[in-house]
Amino acid sequence: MAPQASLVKGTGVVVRLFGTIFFLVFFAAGLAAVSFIGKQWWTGAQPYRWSEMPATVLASRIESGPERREGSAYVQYRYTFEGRTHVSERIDVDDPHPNGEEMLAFVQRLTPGSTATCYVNPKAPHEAVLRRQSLWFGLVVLFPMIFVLVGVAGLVGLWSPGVFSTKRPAPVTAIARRDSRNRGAVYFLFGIFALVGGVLTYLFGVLPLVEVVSSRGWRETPCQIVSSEVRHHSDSDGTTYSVQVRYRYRLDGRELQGNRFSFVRGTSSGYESKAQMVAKYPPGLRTVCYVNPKDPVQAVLVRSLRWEMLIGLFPLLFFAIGVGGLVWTARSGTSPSRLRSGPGQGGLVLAEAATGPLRGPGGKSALKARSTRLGKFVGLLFVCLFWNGIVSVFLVVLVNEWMRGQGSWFLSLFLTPFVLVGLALLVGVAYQFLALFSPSARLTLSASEVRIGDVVEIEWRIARHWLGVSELTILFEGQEEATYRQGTSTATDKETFYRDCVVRTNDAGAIASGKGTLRIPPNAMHSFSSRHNKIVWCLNVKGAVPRWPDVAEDYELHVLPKASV
Amino acid sequence: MNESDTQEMFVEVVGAAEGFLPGQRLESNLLWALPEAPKLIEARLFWRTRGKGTEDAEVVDSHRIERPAAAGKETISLRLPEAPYSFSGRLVSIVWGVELIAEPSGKSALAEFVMGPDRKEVVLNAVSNAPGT
Amino acid sequence: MLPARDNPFAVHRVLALRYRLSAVEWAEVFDCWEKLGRRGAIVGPHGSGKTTLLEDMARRLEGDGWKVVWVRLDEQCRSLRAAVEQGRAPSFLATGGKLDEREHEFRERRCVVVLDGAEQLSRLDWWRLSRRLRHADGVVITAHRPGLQPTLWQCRTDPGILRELCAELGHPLEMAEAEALWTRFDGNVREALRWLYDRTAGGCVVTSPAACSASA
Repeated sequence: MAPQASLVKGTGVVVRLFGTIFFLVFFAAGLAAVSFIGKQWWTGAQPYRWSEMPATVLASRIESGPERREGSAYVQYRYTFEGRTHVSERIDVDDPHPNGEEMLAFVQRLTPGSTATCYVNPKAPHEAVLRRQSLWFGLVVLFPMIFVLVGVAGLVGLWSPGVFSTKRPAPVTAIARRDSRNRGAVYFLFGIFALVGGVLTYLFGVLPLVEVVSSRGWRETPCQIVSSEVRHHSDSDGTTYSVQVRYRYRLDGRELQGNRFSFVRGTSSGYESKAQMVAKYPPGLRTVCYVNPKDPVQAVLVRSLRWEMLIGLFPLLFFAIGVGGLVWTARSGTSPSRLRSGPGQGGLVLAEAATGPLRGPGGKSALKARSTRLGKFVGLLFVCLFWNGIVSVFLVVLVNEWMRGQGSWFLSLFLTPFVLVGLALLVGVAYQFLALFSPSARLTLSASEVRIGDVVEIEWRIARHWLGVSELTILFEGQEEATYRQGTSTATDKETFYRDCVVRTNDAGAIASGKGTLRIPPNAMHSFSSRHNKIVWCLNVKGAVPRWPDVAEDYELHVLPKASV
Repeated sequence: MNESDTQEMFVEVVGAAEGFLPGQRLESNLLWALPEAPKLIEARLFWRTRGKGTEDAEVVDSHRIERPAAAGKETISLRLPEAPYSFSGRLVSIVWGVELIAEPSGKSALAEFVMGPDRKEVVLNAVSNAPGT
Repeated sequence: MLPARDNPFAVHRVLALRYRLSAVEWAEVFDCWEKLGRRGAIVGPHGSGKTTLLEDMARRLEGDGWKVVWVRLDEQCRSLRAAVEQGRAPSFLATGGKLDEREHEFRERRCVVVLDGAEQLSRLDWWRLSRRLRHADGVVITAHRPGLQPTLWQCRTDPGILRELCAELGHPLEMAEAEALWTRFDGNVREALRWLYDRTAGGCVVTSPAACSASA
């Protein structure tokens, strides 16, 4: 039987050229976004260095008309700084008259004659603002940073392949050495995923739910609909819609207006559903709204849970990938894949922890598969999301351009291989997803440790057998592995020197569960592992599942030397 | 099997022809006659791999003789570990030996032996599943 | 099946083979090296004996009283930092800043740096290393292609060399077979020797003679 060889090949010139262009685009786009957001944040952070002064509100209203943006807030206030009186109309440092759903409540809080706090530029006292933007906004820069990192990592990886190489032969002894440099980059990448996913989940998923719960204590107040419409929001990605309803209500002798329809944030596609909602609230309709008793300018028309809020939980997937990746990185670094055994056993290296048997009751041991299906699925999903997430940005731009009749053949051809890879990844993810539900085998040995010459009973149980395993085969194999240099790459040859068929059956009852006998040959070699040479014993489980991914799992068995006399 | 860089160093493992059991103590006769006294003479009990893969080796025990004379002989005792056995497959072999080395000249001599259950090397192509065993 | 340790093409035997240069050719190599300011590269494709020639050259230089400093790079170790961490290169070649004692020694004694696998280094790493190597009395590298240093020797193979090596390993080949192997592996003698390892080893998988059975 010819040995099997696995090769790691270097990158060619063509791949490097295309890759360089691809990653340069990433880098440039990410850098542009980082610069823009960074500049915005820096501008918005300036008022934190300004002097906080009391101000008297002279006028406040929501503007409408040709001179100002529809719905923009106008507030005029007076303040004194170093003995001189100034009047300002600026609300934010980067937008003197901001608009937005929350501005109506903001303006209603600042009634003429009331006192507010403003922030005055000590170097230019005529310059003052009423609001300071949240510094947390700076975290948004982490998202485009991913593109910058991907661009840099890709370029470095293409032209300096050793920097990010993670292929290292395991040392003969003790714990496999960690490359703290590579691990730091992985932590950073997963950390950004976790942070961005967490922030977005909080803003769009958790916060609306918290608001729904806290609004249970809000006061039900009669109100009258002033206006209602479906507002269009167009950008390069297309058109989205939002429900805009304004209503009037009276509380504690004061007439107020509200424009918050529900706790769902943002805009979305789907005009019809929004039109139906607007149709239920025509102008003039008398209905009820819910008012925050602690802050009467806060009100909402619909305070129940809505299904659109569930979409806000989508970023939870990125958060989960980020946290899962951080945990996986941390665990793969601390779990030794090789342990030196105790004194008296010299250089024997026993492989444990990650793939070793689990001690069970009564001296039994359950075997763990060498790689988990969930691990394969999550890994492939992460790669697929990452890849397709990035490629889709370019694909959407390309499709829009073609629809406008301005398509570029060069970009189309350039993107084609990336799209094909993305499609292949999608198919792979779908296959691995189905494989998650494939039957799985649980193997238990009748002994907690297995030595040369032992005869042990092996019990199997196939979970999710309802999917219909038509044939089950369990093979017990011993393999030699030899690793050597092949030019600039490394190759590993494998040779199966022993194979024993534990079971091969197509009887449904025997497939679902059964017992067999495992005989470790008395004149065989125990498990052995050094940097370039190994002896590996494993159980190979194959289950044929018609019209579904087959079961194919390997369970490494640690065969110890004969007990010393 | 004995190997030596020069005629000046010699190592012999007593009873090598019969082989050794795992965990057994072995005795080794060391002999050296160098032009000048070395700083250190060391006998190392080791295993190494042979075959298609890049060689691996590990020293499991050693005996040092500090500031020895230029010529001398000594018999030492070293304990073998429980594993790895001497074995030969198609791609990989493990070979046990004792190496005698003089520093700083680096001159050395080597004697190989077999360690395994039944005092024999495990040969992988002889592995079989005989009924009843 | 031939046991791995007895296979004439086992790694330890192949590594013991030396590069075939006559005394005249060796003199030419060292003469060229001197003329090139004691800087040079041994170039050649995969499996053509560059590392072997470099090792032989290093041994001769040591015999002539040179201090040889080794740097070994390959697929698993492609940067200077990794080489230093794995003990494949002295630390002073990778560090910046002030010189330490070892680098003083490197500068003062007749010191030659031999670098195997120079093509593994990134352009930045090679530039950094070149700057450090300015102070070495001699440099010899191996590379797949010329360009990093002046070419000292171009390694080439032919079926005759393959045949000679097999004879030295105790497994002679007919010329026709040597030619066929040499052509099949594009002159990569190392791969040809590995193929011969597999052919000489023979062997087969031993399977259980008992019928498979199961009990529910």
